[in-house]
Amino acid sequence: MKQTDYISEQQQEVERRVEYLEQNVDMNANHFGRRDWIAVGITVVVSLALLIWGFFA
Amino acid sequence: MAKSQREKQIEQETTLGIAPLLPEEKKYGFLDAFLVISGYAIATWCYTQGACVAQMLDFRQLIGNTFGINILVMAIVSLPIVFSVRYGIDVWIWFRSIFGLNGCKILTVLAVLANFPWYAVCAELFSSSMSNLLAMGGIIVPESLQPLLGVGSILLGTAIAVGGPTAIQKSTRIMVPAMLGVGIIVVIIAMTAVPIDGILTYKPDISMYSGRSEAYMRALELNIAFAFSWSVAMFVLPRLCKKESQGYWATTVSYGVIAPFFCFAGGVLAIAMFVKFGVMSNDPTYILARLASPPVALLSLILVAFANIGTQGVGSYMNALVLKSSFPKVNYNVFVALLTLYVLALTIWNKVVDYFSSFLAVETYLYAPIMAVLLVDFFFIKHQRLSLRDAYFLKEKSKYTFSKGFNFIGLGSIVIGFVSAMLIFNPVTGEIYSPIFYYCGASIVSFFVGGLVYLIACKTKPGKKYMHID
Repeated sequence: MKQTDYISEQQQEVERRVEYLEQNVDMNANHFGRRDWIAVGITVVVSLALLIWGFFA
Repeated sequence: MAKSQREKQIEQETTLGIAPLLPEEKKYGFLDAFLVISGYAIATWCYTQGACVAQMLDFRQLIGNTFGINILVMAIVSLPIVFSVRYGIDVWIWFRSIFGLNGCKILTVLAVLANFPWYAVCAELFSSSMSNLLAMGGIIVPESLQPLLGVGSILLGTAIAVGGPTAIQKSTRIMVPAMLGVGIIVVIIAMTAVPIDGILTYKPDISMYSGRSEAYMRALELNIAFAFSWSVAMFVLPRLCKKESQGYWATTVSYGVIAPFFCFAGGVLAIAMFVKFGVMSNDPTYILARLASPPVALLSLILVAFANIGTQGVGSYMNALVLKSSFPKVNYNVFVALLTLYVLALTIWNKVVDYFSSFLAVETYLYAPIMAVLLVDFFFIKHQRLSLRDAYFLKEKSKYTFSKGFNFIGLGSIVIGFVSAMLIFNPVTGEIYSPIFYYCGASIVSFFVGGLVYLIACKTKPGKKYMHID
């Protein structure tokens, strides 16, 4: 009985939060910008170079 | 019967672990997230990892191999953290849309089983630090009794986990400074114990391998495994970040640079030990006891012991919460007890460190295709969009129900990825079945095969219908 109460409470809490997010937050907005992608690209290239340098070192 | 304060706290934590966070609950900037994640990432097993790969690599190879692959893997597999911050959810909620609710339950159990041997490593390190401490006091513990010392750390860690969130909070306050203290001591000893020339000119004994490239690729496989070992648990903290880029970069730098730095320090420590005494060891406590001056050795061994008890407690707590999220009807204490029995059995078996590379590889063969499927799903299948109502089964008929809670495309892709790696390298016997291993290792193959199979399956007409892709 106790666990059933808990699961139902949990589901209600989740529903409340999802509803709030749907009404107040733009979930489709992408905040990972162009500069981040450039930095990711540089990180990948540098790490690959480090790996290859280690192989031939 | 009224619930105790501890029960309420645990239920609240589990709910918060599952439910999406609201914008006002997100309180971390880059620096906050970076410090918290780094505190978790510099566990004492980093030194065991570094000492293991140092047996196959010279100093320059150690730098390239350790930092190169850890940064590369983390830069790529951390990308889906963007959704974790955007939706305020853990990765296991997104996984429901890939593997189904029941598929996730199976994967949760497998992921915990594959990850928990790390805590047996912690127990072995604790037993080793205790043995060395007692040896400094003139008491020699017979080797056969040493696993029993590890049992002590497991039981103390379990007591912390049973204590719930309050006990965890208090133990973390001791654990993180203790781990930082060990880290600082290890770095100083590694850099000063022997002349730098000795470390720079060190040559590992690779006579058991066909050459330098095989040794390099075996070490690479271990480092790939180390990088992937964080993956399924690394989405919990970044979802507290205010911005997507903060969550991504804090995770990538913590697991891709900070954790490998301490692996590297462990590797240099092992090399210093070899240069000074002609003996290679992958036990950092033994090395600290031999290389450090008696007071520093005493301090570092005590810190290692405290750090490992704390890690054990936090690990049991976090993994029990993960299991409870998947099986909410089961009592939290039951999971803590089961995890304790599991890690006790591994510790008394006393072979986890001997089979360190094997268990790491098995873990990666599972985690690599899971992460590949997640990346493909996030960028190429769902195009960064998730229906929260379907993922939380708030609709009468959720599109993520699939086949009675199992998604055979997602689960099948993982199985195929796992098998493809097993066809290249056997992690238990160490046997190499295919020359592909010498070029990219086995885990990378499981990563690409798992991701590619999922992508192709989802792009077919029946696949799109099954996945409910518009």
